[in-house]
Amino acid sequence: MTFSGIQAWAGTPGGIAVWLTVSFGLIFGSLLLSVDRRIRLGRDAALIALLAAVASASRVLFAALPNVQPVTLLLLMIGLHMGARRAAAVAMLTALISNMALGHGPWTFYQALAWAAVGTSAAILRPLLVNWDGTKVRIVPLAILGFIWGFLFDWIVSLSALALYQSFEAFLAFIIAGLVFDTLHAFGNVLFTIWLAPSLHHLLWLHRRHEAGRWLPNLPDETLKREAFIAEAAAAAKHLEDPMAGIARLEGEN
Amino acid sequence: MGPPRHFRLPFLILVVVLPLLLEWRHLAAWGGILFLWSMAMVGPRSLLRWLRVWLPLSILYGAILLLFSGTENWEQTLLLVARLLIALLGMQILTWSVPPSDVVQSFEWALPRLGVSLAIALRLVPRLERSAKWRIETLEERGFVENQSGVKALRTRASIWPGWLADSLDHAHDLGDAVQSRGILAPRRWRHGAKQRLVQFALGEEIREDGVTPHHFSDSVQLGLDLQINLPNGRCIGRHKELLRGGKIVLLRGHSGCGKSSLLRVIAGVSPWQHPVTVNGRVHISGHPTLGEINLADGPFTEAISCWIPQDPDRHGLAESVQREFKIARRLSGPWKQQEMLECLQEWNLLDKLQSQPENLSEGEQQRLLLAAHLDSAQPIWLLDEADVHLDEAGFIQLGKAVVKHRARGGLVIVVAHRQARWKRIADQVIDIGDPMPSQEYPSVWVERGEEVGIPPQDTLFSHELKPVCAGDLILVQGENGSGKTTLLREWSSQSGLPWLPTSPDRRLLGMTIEEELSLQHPVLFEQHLAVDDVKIPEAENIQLQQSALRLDLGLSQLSTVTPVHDLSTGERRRLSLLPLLMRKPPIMLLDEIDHGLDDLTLADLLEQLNTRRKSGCAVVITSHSPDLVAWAKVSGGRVWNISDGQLTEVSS
Repeated sequence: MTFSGIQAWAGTPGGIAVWLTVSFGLIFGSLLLSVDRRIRLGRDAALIALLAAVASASRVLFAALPNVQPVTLLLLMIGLHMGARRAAAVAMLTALISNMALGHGPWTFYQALAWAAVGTSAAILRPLLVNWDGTKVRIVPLAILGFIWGFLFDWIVSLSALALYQSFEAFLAFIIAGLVFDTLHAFGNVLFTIWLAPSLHHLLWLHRRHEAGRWLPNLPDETLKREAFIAEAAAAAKHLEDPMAGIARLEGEN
Repeated sequence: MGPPRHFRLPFLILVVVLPLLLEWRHLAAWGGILFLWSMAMVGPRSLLRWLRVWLPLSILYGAILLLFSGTENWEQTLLLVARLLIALLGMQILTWSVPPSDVVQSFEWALPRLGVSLAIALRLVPRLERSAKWRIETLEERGFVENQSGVKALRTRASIWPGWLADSLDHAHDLGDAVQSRGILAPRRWRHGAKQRLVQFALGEEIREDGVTPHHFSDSVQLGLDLQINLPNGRCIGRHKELLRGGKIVLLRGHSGCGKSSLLRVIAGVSPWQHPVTVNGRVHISGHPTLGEINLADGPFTEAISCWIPQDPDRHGLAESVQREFKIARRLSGPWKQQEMLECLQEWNLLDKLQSQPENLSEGEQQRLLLAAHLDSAQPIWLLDEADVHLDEAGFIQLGKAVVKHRARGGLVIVVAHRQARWKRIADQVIDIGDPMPSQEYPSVWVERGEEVGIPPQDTLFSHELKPVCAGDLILVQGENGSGKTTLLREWSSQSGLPWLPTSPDRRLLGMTIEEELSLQHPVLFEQHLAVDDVKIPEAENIQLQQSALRLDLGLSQLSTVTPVHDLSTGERRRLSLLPLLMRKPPIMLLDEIDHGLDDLTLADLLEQLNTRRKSGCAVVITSHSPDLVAWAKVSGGRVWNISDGQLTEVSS
């Protein structure tokens, strides 16, 4: 196949699907490799696991309501607090675990990708989403971001239709078929933001506070002074027990 | 019945590509094969559940396609939708056929640390569901859901969400600490080179990791402590200056919340900030088989530096099966061989639990599983944090044997225990943290029995011919691990509507902070909590007074109300979870392992409270493995019940 042939193929729906998937996969894969190397503490691994478990359980719990689930909000909060890389890890685990119950397919990859993008956006827009010292979350900007992601997320996931059927018409039909569901997702995100965002923020903040504990190599000054005082007092007491202890005997004395 | 392991990827390509190539006749045949295959694999019910989701979506998708392409292309559209549905069914067969443990294994190969996260997440999902169930159960037990309208009930249920999440976060921290202390994030060491491994793989042989052969430790095993642990407010919860040598069993004593567990955490090399504390000073370990000399301030370490058995086995078990718990244990002395594992399970009387899931075991059995799998003979330092509380007599003897054997090898064993009588006999050194504990006698009182208030249920688990429980009765239930003591209390509670207190306090704590928890302990207090400042509910004041008095009696009044519940010690959490039960004044109180996490002084105060309840006509039923509590029950004129072989019998005194 010549270069021009490849160029022509890259413009077809099939070609677009392939290069989009490969390039997204490379970015996503490098994020995951990077986070995998960065995990040094058991608590890091466990926190990622917990958030993925909460997101998966809530997705399965809300499966009866079409496209209304708190996963997008969770990923926004995770991106906000833990950064894009860890959000990508949680996104991937969430897609994997929740789809064990709901069904895997090509969309699993795109769901993970879209949720990773959700987390990344929150990490980038952090200054807009929290107050000056990061102790409070701003509900309105977060709700707006959640609303936008309600649509964007579903459109990214719909790329799986392009990859599978390689036709622009099918892709467009897929997008239009899902518009009602996208709207539900967007409004669901706003509701979940109002309900859950403050407590989630508080909790993740609490986790960061716990992680701020330190190991200092030296004992506090007052402890050292107290110990020195006790040691001196003990030595003085020993001296008092035998007042003659300090007096050297003269040679020839019995 | 799914595709074999090595054919999963070709199968995935086949089920996605084949429908795109086939025309109607062949497509129908392929669809039929997949349909029958999935029917045989998961049964009609699962298949119907799958169809209920995907069939309407496919039809909707087809309808929209028709709208765009025009009705004249209906045949093409129908073909497209059929291809989609059949490809989806093929992928679903693959999903059904791959067990989660295979997913974890493939993951561990590519992304080892995220693989650990995946394994923990798979363990946490069912735990989260159970935790939510316990909370709803607790709300109902406290009378919240009665007489509440739909919106109000929804609001009440929504109020437990932060507490649920905080408990889950705490559990995740516990699991993280378990991962850290066992060195699970450390890279694996392979015994053989790549070539040898390839040959072994090709021949289907077991590929072993490197391990340290357990040996007699030299005299170099030493633990030097010169450190101080401070709370964020500057209060010191332990100043330790010791040099401990191998070949000893050291017993750590102290009242609840004095920092015993925090010290063990520091020595175990896990995050010293379980609660936001600061550690000042140095801890030095020498004689580690692979790391040699360790200064703990250089941590955190990816490798295990000691063998730490923490409290609450249900919060530290990592694996989804007994076999996998053994597989991930013992990073230092190398993985277990099948035969070794079976022998160990037999020693700990767990052989019949080989196929069980750890979360379905009783607390005592879970504790024995943790001890059996994780007591690594190659580790010079063993840290046992109340490791004996859930164990029956046989379990304690087995633990004692293991500990004495480790001492004989030259290892150092540090034990934290509140019921110390049994440990004192084998301990070489006793260290008191804080003021020495005065020897405490449990308060006994003789209470006249009143009228009949209940009888345990006769269910399929136990048959009995017991006399009914009367007002003022004290009953102590004993039995081996897994004999069904907790089940008895749970069944009794659900059949007679009586409140019961499980061993783990987290099952009965709803709030994220102490303030939230206190308001969620009674519906009226919760109503007052939600009301605007000016509105005073008259009944609430009385209940608040009663609650404050009980807090004082239980030694909880000094705690700040903004303290997160999970920053409290186990003993404090246990007493906090007991408050609503005491406030409710039920005819019978059912308490599971009441002495867990409590020092002698606090336990004596608590028993005093129970005596007061008995005098006011309440019967008390408790389960325990402690010989001290059995003696106390007998002295107080209590009755002792024993569960054995499915029979519940009264032990004559």
